[in-house]
Amino acid sequence: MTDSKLALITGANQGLGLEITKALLTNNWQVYGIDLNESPIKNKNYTHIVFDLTNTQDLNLSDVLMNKKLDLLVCNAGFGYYGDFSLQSIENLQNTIAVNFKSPLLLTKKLLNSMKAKSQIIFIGSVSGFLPAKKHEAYGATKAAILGFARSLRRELAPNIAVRVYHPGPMKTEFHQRAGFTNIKDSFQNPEDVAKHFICWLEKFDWQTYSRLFFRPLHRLLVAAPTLPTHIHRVFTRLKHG
Amino acid sequence: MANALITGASKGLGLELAKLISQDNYKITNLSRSQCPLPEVKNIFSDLSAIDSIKESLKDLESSEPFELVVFNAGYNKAQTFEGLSLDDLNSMIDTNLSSPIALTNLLFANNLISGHTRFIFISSLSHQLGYPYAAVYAATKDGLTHFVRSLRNSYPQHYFQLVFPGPLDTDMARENSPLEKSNNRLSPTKAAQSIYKSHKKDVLEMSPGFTPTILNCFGRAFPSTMDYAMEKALKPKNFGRDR
Repeated sequence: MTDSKLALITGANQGLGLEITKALLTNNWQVYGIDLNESPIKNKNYTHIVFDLTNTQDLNLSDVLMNKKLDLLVCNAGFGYYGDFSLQSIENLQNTIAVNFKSPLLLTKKLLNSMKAKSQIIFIGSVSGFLPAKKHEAYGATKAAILGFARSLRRELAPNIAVRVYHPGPMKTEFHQRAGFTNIKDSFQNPEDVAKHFICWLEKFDWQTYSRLFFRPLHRLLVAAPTLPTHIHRVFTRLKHG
Repeated sequence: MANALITGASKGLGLELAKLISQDNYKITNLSRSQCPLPEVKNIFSDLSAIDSIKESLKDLESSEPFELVVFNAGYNKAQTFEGLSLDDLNSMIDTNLSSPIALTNLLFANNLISGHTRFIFISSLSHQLGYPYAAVYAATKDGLTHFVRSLRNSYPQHYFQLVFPGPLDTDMARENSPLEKSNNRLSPTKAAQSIYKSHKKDVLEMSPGFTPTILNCFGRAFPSTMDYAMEKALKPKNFGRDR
């Protein structure tokens, strides 16, 4: 099909990435997915690329894309570790930065000339990128960095390419298990719902959005008063210990 | 005498901070590629853009007493459009500004080189409040660093983490890269260091040295998207976008 739109998504095998891929396919998009392992999706519009994004600088997409121009790039792949900061290994910290932060940058740089006019580059941020990320400091740092990158790059690439950020909250995905976080609550969102919201948002104009309504004012508040969580934390500690 | 660790104290803001800190009776260790000109400072070679070099220098640090003051000052900036930025510069910025403070903090904690109540100073950038179009990677690394420090505050409430957001300084790195062309608008690193150290003594959590950066800091927090729009207008390179 020539009239279907073209998207490339990283981390397309699991969790939110998988749901977004499925949703795009149902909406008649043609999708390229990148992930570590073989894909569970079987669809004529879907092309899978097996690649480890820790080495994004070696990724060569020209054979796959064959001069086709993308309408959408979703930098979704990411992972984190949950646990005391001092107990985390340097290798884990380095990998987190490489996959969550360095890889989207390199991928964007590679594909900048393969984007159509009026196309979108979307980074998946996280609420950990603006709420204090206790026990996953490095993960939070990479997500804040991606947000900062998008904020500045969006001015640079406007009006040809829209650079946008989607901030999901915690979801019921295997992400948490892999991170070593076991306390999964009922309030966590379903990735299907988040993907549905994501697809609706593609048509809208705001450059960043959140998977839940109240994240937006919360983010705004924390930008205006960044030391607020520290002060609240101090008051609570004082009340607790007298 | 208490122990202090500074990264990148061989020149610029790091050197000025080192002078103030040594006057305040600290024994300083400088972690950087080049030597600090002050005679009382102990120099340990470390290329902060390479993780192996940081690990290597830790062997020299292990023999010392726990640090009571740690200053993460070393940074690297290359103001360049994202399209034109070379991969080497991109990697250097990420490694020096983001990976190295995270890795070094982790190593210090893991190797018990942090005392019970350590005071940290992290040098971020005013670009965190204002955005920094045409230097997006630099802005990103500083945003990452800033959020990392804010998260650490909740994880380690017994330590004091200060964040500093300096505007354009009169140093070599900043003169090459940051927006202001008139040098009289730049704050001298000596004055910046004095202002930073003074607020550090008062346990201020976050600050910008100088009057104009302080105002801009407040504006950036109140109107973030207006400020990055204004920054884009101010910083747009003259020939940008002609060949598109």
